[in-house]
Formats: sequence, C-alpha cells, structure tokens
Amino acid sequence: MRKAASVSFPLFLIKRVRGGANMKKFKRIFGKDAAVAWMLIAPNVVWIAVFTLFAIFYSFYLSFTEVDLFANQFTLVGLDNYKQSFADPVFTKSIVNTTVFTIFTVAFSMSIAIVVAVLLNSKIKGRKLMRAAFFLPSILPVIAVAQVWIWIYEPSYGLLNFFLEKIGVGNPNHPFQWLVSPDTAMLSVIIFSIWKSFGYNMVIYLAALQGVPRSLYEAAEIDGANAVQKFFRITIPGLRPATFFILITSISGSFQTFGEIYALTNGGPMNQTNMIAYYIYQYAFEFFKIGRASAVSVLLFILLFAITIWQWNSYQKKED
Amino acid sequence: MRRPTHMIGMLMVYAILLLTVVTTLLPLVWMITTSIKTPGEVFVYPPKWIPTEFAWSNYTTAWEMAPWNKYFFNTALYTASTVTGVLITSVASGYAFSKLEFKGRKTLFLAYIGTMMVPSQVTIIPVFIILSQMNWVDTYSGLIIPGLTSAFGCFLMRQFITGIPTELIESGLIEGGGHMRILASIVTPLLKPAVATLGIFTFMGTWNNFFWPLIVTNSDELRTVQVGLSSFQNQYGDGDWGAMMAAATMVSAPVLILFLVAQRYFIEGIAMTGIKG
Repeated sequence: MRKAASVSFPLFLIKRVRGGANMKKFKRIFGKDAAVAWMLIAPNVVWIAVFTLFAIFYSFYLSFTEVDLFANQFTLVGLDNYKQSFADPVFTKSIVNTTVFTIFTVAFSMSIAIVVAVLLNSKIKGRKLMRAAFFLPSILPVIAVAQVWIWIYEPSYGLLNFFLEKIGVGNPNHPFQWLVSPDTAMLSVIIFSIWKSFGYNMVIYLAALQGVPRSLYEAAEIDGANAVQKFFRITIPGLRPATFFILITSISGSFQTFGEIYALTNGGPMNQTNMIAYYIYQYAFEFFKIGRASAVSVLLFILLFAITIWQWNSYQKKED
Repeated sequence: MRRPTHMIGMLMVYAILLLTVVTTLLPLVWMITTSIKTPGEVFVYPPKWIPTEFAWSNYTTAWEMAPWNKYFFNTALYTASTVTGVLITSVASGYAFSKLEFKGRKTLFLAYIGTMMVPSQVTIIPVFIILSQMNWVDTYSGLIIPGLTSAFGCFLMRQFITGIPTELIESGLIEGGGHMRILASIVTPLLKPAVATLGIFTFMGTWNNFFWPLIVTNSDELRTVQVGLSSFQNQYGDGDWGAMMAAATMVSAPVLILFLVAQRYFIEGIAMTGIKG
C-alpha cells in the first residue's frame, strides 16, 4: 500500500472507467493493474511454468520409469531406480566426494575471502586494482581456466611441481602426479575451485563491510581491543547476513559442480573426483539411463532443499 | 598513526595482499605467455617466464585445427539473443512486480525468486526430453529459447525499479500515458546502469555457459566456443600446450575485455545481489 496512491487513485479510475462494470469487477477481483501486469510477467510465468515447475514434476515422474528415448517408451518401474542408485558404490562415493569437496572448497574460499576483504578494506594503495585481480578468475570460462590448471598440474613440466621443488618439497624423480593420482586428484580439484571462487565471495564481503558501523570499531578501540579481537568480536558478527548468503549460494553451487570435473578429471581417476552432478550427467547423457539419472537428480533436489531450509532456520534462530 | 608497530602491520598487510594477488594472477599470466611460446620453449625446464621470441603461430595453428569461426558465430548468436530476451523480459516483469498492483503479486514474486534455488541438474533431463519431443535438440531454437527469461534478472530489475519514485509513474498516468508508454519512455531511460549490469551478467553467464550447450547441441555446426574448446582439448590436449593455451586465451578474451572495460558494473551487480538478497 503506497501512500501517494491515495491522491491519484480516484483520477486514475475516472480515466480508465471506459471498460464499464465488468472492467470494474475485474479490477476489484484481480487488482487495478492486473491486465497489464499479467501481460508483462507472462513470458517469465510461462517459462518458469514449463522449464522449471513442470520440469520438476516431470523429473519425479521420470525417476519412477525406465526410458527408451529412441522408441519413445516410458515404463513405470516403481522404486527400482532409487534402489539401484543406493546399491551403486559409485553413487555413494559421489555423495561422499561432493560433501568433502563442498566442505573444503566453501570453508577455504570463504575464509580467504573474508580475510582478504578485511585487509583490502583498510587504507590501501591500489585497492581497486587488487580487487579486480582477485575477482578475475571467477568471471573466466571454467573450461578455459581448467585447461590452464591442467598445464600447471602437469607432473614433469608443470609450474606447481617446479615451485614446490624450488622450496624443497617433493622429489624430482617422483614428481607429484596431481590430477592423475587417486591420492591427489580431489585435492587438485579443490585448490582449483578455491582459486576460482574466493574473489567473488570477497567482493560480496567487501560490499558488506561498508555496512558495519565504524562507531563499533571506535568504541572497541577506546576499550583497548586489538585487531584480532575486533575482527572476531565486530567484523565476523557484522558480516553475518553476507556470510549466510554466500554459504547458501556456495553450498548449492558446489553440489552442482560440473564443468570443473568434466574438464579436469572426467570424474577419475577411479571415480575419486566423481561428484553428484557429474554422476547425473553420465547416467543421463552418456549411459542414456534417464530414469536412473532422474532418481539421483530428485535426491539432489531434496538434499539441497533440506540443507537450505536447515541453514535458513539456524540463521533465523541466531538472529533472534 | 606513525607508531613503528603500525608501520610493520601495514607492511604485512601489503605483503599478504601482494602475495595473494600474484598467486591469483599467475595462472592467467601463464596461460598468455605459454600461448606465445614456440613449441621448443614450452617444454624448457625450469620454465621460462617471458618467451625469447613471440610465436603467434600457436593462434593460427589452433584456429586451423577446429571450426572456430562457426563456434564463435554460434556463441555470438546465442549470447546476443539471450541478452536481448533476458533484458526485455526482466525490465517488463520487474516493473510489474515493483510498480503495478495485482492480486498475489508478493506471493508470486517470492515463489518465482525461490525457483532460483532449483539446481539445473534437476530440470535439465526433463527439459531435454521436452525439447527432443519438439525436435528442438541440436537446433538454435533449443539452444536459445529456454534461456530467454531469468528469475535473477527479474529480481535485479525489480530491485532497481523499486528505487524509482512512484510519483514519477503517477504523473505519467495523469498525463494520459498507459503503463506500457510509461515503461518505455519514463522507466527504461532511468534504468541504464541496471540494464548495463544485467546485460553484462547475462553476457558473461551465456558466453561462459558450458553445461547447457553441451547437452542440447551435438553437431559441430551448432557448437559454442566452450563446448568447442572442450572437444579441442579432448582431441589435441596433452600435446600442444602452446595451441591449447592459445585456444583458451581466445575463448576467454571477450569476457576478459568486457571485464576490463566495465569492471564497475560487475562489482556493483555482485555487491547488490549479496547485500539486498
């Protein structure tokens, strides 16, 4: 309800009353701008109805079927797809991998982001230039930068092993295999993702820092608080809304990690970096098991939904 | 202010920041320098930072190894259509959700924004089946049409339009303009920064999009640069790092240039979704 509307509202009715009694009734039931409003939102409503809402229901339906796309046959198979998924060790592994990947990537990306944002927020020369530098990896195409990291991780000529040898880590005769070895593949993917994502989070934190009142810091300084105390007592609590936002979007983003895996490892070696989004892709578009893939995607949906609700609740609880 | 401990503190801040900047930029510098090295210098150990002679030949080699002109044309078409569609539908729906009165406006808007949380892996399979029933798989229609509206775009535009004084719209109504005219002649001209922000975001998202073109196209005729780069990697990877890095640089260049030119809008857009979201 806008206050200003009370002035022009009667005028507006007089001008538009041409439509007669039916029009008036229509406006009373659906709101005064309903006709033009629905016209303006129609494309968005139709698109979301078909490509998201219908798609979600269809996804549930598909998860109970076995699909033969070439013959255009959909056979109901009950819970078979779910049972098969849970019986598949690769599926369980992909869930574990996704969880490990998410915890480490999100934790490190956010910690680096917050520290860098706080440091950048002081009176620093070249602040904007540095902000741009940190932000750069997050806007570049994942396939292209993954390519660069494959080259950096290359065991014999790669940059990373060269640097490590320089500081005396590693044995030149047995160079670290990074993406190739089952022991280090996940670590390599995580390092890549932290590099790619922290700058984006940093920009959000930097913007949020402008909203933390200076007076709080000044009061703390009078009380003799040092930099570390101020960071933990004022900065971190002041950034709670931003942290909540980043946490929700990062966790959801991490669970959907696909391009990174496709380009860096193809889920290997030995499914060591196979994650849930990649697993869905493989089943749907490489093995053509549409039903199996749909069952897993429904599980992913429920899982992400539950995580978001849980985060939302715990955020609200602490706010009170 | 001039205490020695303060000086040491500032020095440490600079040191940490510079170290992080160098680590962040190193891979990108490495991409570009490798792309202009001769094959002989690529495999020199220890690695050479600046090539002794610039070999632009990696770019011509890469360009000749795949139908890049097609990839770039497809991506340009895909990106331009998506940006146009998203801008138009976002301004229109953002205006309706912000300034028009209709039943269920708030609920509908919240539900719509909520759909942003639905992971693309959940909808991609059914959407693929819908498209295949319509014979739209591996066509421009299939590639472009599903992405012409955006919940994020609608949200962003609504945020901006809410900042426009309602009095401005009401005076337009009194002067006898309909809402469509007000939208075109009063609201849209005020939205330049918002349009720039959303346009840039959509450009970046579409240009960089890999998952969707990978699924919905499968012939070389329809491939975008990202899918092209990926298949280039699968075919020629591991061997010719110079050509690989040249290809990666080519595909990154448009986004990189846009970022350098319009950095302000990137940063503002992100800050805005973060704070007000």
